[in-house]
Parts: sequence; C-alpha cells; structure tokens
Amino acid sequence: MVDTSALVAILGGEDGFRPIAKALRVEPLATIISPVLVEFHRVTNDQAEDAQMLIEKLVGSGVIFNPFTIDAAQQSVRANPLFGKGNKQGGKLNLLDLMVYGAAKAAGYPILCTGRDFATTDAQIHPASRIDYP
Amino acid sequence: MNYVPRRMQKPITIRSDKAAKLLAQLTRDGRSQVEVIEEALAKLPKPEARKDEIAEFMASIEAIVARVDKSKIPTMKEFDAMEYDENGLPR
Repeated sequence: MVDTSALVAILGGEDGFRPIAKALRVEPLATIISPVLVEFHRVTNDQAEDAQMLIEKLVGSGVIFNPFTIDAAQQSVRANPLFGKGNKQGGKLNLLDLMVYGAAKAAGYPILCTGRDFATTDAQIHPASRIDYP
Repeated sequence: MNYVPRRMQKPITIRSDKAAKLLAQLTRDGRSQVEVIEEALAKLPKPEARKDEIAEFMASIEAIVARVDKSKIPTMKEFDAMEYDENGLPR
C-alpha cells in the first residue's frame, strides 16, 4: 500500500528513491488509493506535468489504483484513537495517513513510505521504505 | 476480501470444460466460484518481473526524475506542516 510520501520521494529524487520505485514495479499487488493520488497532486502542484507523467508510468506498469472503501474506512476509524494525531496518546498519523493505514490493514498489505510516522504503529512496513527519513 | 462492490470489479471469462468441472466440484461445499478462484490464484507463485522490464521501468523513472525541478517540491514534512493542523486535520 503506497503512501504519498513514497511517490513524493520518487518524484523529488530523494535519497533512497530507487528501491521505492523498484518496489512499485516488482510488487504484483502494489496499490495506490484514490486519496493518495489527490494528496500527491497537491504536494507536487508546481510540477504537475511531471507528477502526471509519473502516475501514467505507474498505471502502465500495472500498479493498482483502488478507491477508498468502507473496509478501509472502518480500519481507519479503529486506528484513530490509537495512532491518530491529537488524540493525546502521542499518535502521529494525520487524516490521510489514517486512510493509508486503514487501506493497508483492510488489504493485509505492508505500507511503502518514507518517514517514521507509520513505524510508530502496528502496521507492516515494506522493506523498501525509508523510515530513517525525517 | 470483497472491499470493492463486486459489480464494479473487473470481469473475467474463460471457456474450459476442465476448469468448469473442477469449479463445480470445489463449490459443492457452498463456497462461491469467485472464492474458489481467488483462493486458488492466491496460492500460485507470482512470476517475478523480468530484469529487462525492471530496467526499462527504472530508466523511465530516472528520466522523469531528471526533468523535475526539485526545489519546487516540498518534503512531506513541509507539506504536512502546511496542510494539516496539530490534530492531523486539514487546515
């Protein structure tokens, strides 16, 4: 399950972007949910053409694009008191993060991401992720 | 896991007497044809992407990355600080 941070890392050529990109090609069930696509385009608004090229490449390479479903939403809601930001439990996940977490849980997939936020949860993290990234 | 309504999922059609007979046997316990086929397919080893396909993909990605003006893309940390408040909700 691909988080926005993984897509941003690729387009921005961040350190460690190559293993992340490769994972998108070699994992047969690499999946991007619609809200991630929206957030990715917001982050990369000033490089919209290149962002679109990247997405088209991923579509052509077999990456799965799925809607955000009721199962995923239920998992996100369950996770909110545990891992949601502002819950007074030290949770790190913002709204979109919770949606990615929920979709990953519903599908039983690891999360491909950069940053430490998902690593503070019970989510599986894909080995190509860069969790040492701030 | 049926998390996209079935009517919205991609249909597949095959013509095979052998497969139809096996499917009839395997659904006698009440499972649906979809459940049996999904379970059977999930058990099969997935073919790895060919090295030349991976190389072609990575070359395409490198070409896209080379075009990008990185200074115009915020890091996720910067974006999150702009986009979400202290409760993780959109500003």
